[in-house]
Amino acid sequence: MKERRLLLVEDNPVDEALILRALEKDEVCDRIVVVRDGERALEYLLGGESESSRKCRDMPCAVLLDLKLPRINGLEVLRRLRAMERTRLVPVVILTSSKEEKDMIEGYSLGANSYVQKPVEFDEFAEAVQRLGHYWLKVNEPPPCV
Amino acid sequence: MRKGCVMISELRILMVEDNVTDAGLVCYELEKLRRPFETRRVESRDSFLREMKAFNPDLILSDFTLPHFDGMSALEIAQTICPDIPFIFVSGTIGEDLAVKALKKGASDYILKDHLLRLAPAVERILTEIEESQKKTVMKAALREKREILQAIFHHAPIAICRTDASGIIVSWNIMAENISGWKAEELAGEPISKFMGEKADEIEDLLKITLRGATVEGAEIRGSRRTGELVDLYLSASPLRDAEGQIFGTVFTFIDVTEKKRALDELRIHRENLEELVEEKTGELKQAHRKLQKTVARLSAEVEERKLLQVHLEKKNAELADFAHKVSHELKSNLLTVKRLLECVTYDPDFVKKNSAFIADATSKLIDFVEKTLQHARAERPAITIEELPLASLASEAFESIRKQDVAGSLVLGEHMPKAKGDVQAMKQIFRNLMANSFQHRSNGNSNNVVVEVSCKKSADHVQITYRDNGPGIAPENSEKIFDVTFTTKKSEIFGFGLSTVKKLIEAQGGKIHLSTRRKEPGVEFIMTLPR
Repeated sequence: MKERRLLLVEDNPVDEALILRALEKDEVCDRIVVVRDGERALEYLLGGESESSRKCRDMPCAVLLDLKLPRINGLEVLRRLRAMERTRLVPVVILTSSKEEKDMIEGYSLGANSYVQKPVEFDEFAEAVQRLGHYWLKVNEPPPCV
Repeated sequence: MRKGCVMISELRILMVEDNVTDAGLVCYELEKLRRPFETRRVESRDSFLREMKAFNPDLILSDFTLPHFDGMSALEIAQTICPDIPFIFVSGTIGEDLAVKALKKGASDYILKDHLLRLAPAVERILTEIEESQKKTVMKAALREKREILQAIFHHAPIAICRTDASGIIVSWNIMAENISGWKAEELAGEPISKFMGEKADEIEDLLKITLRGATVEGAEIRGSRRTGELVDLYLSASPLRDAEGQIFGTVFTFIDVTEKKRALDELRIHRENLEELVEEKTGELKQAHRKLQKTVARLSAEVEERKLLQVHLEKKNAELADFAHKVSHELKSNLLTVKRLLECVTYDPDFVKKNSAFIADATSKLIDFVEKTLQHARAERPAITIEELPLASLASEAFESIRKQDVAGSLVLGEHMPKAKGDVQAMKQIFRNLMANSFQHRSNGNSNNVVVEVSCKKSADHVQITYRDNGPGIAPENSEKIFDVTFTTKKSEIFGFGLSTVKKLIEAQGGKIHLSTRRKEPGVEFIMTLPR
């Protein structure tokens, strides 16, 4: 059985703490990997000089991707993920504070599987994260390895 | 009284005769005339008078002696009333003298009664004479009429006509010719035709010769002179006149005055030439105007292009501004959301908040810092600049001390000779602070945390050059221009790079310039700034 792993791409440390807290409470997640910018995210998933290339079975069940990242922004990360065979199918959930329509359109066009706007209220935020965790780790079937 | 017409109808004969027998004999003779005739006979003066009026005879045959009347009286009366009616005495012998007298008095003939045979032929002769003379009269009248018409045509023709004889002597000269030439017909009659041309006679003499040889001249244009000496242009034709045998007996010349026409034509020609000149001139002007227009069009097109470019530039600036605003909003929002969420978390999980309380402080300081930097940046757009002498060395030192962090080793190296520059003290201080803050923040980890900053100065003719160096990782050459853009940053935690943008604005506000030097070999940045002297 595949390890229930999530990749969180988030640069804001407070948001990161809140998300981790929410997921830990729910206890659905076996492991959460956190990277703080787009470059690191690509390194993790596609492998760079410092990491060996990730094998399919080690792919996370879903990627929680913030859009406002320093250096390479979230949408660019998504584009590059979808361009590579290895990461073409991995579920990507955009989790962002942006409500911009053009970000939504671009996100979906690039192949995001879901778009979630971070709720402003703390309790709603926590609930949303728990629901996401539950859905993508328990309910959704990750793509098979090809 | 009837006059003038040839008698076709009955001849009316009035007989003055008392003897009926004699009258009968006369009538018998008159039968030989083979003309229808009617006779009446009178014996007395009264009846004679009466019948002269009433009968209106064409011929009177009278005896010489009558009992109550006499032939001579009748003759007198007839001569008085109507002398044209032929009066023939038909009588016995009266003697030669009386006969001659009678004839002298106006009788047409004297016939002896003994020789009546002579009557018919005499009457015939007389009647024929009358008829002939009447014909002549009629013909003469007709002829005169014709001649009058011809004269009228000749004289009043709307063209000058001149007739000459076979040697060129003028015979006729019509009114138009008089008008044109100024010579009256009487003055030229008998003169050679060249007379009226004055000095320029040879042309017309040549034409005369040609015509007299039998040729017709049609439409010769010759120049002559009027009697006054005034020059005149004539359009002339001439032809020979031939008699019944075809011999040339003279010439006829016709001409019209075309002086006016010629003048008008000349004027027209001049006009046309002038017009052509004018047209050329105007065409030249038009061409020039056209060229000017083309130049204007070209200029306007260039302006339009410029405007287009400007518009594109403005649109780009607008987009940049929108982007900037967008990023500002995000920056503020994200920090505020962080604070908000953590504070809300207090009621649910106070331990979690305690653990992460540093984040609250962090977020709030970031907000304050951001607001300040934005203010700074906005101020830099319109800074209050006071140009005075800059103590560069002390400004650099002060800035270094305020920026330097306690836990990081750093040193400032100043150039040996710092010439005096002119600028705004506060602005220069800010510039140094921002540059140094960057140097500290971007310092290389490998240099055992020792930040070395070098500030040196040199002067040239019209400006002072300030060089800033550090020993950090430097900036990639391809970013050498972007780094001054407010939305460019390489810092992981920031979306804005206010620092260098502010530096550029401040230096430019003092009339100076800044650029990143790409020639340095050692690692680290090198900024070259200039200030005018």
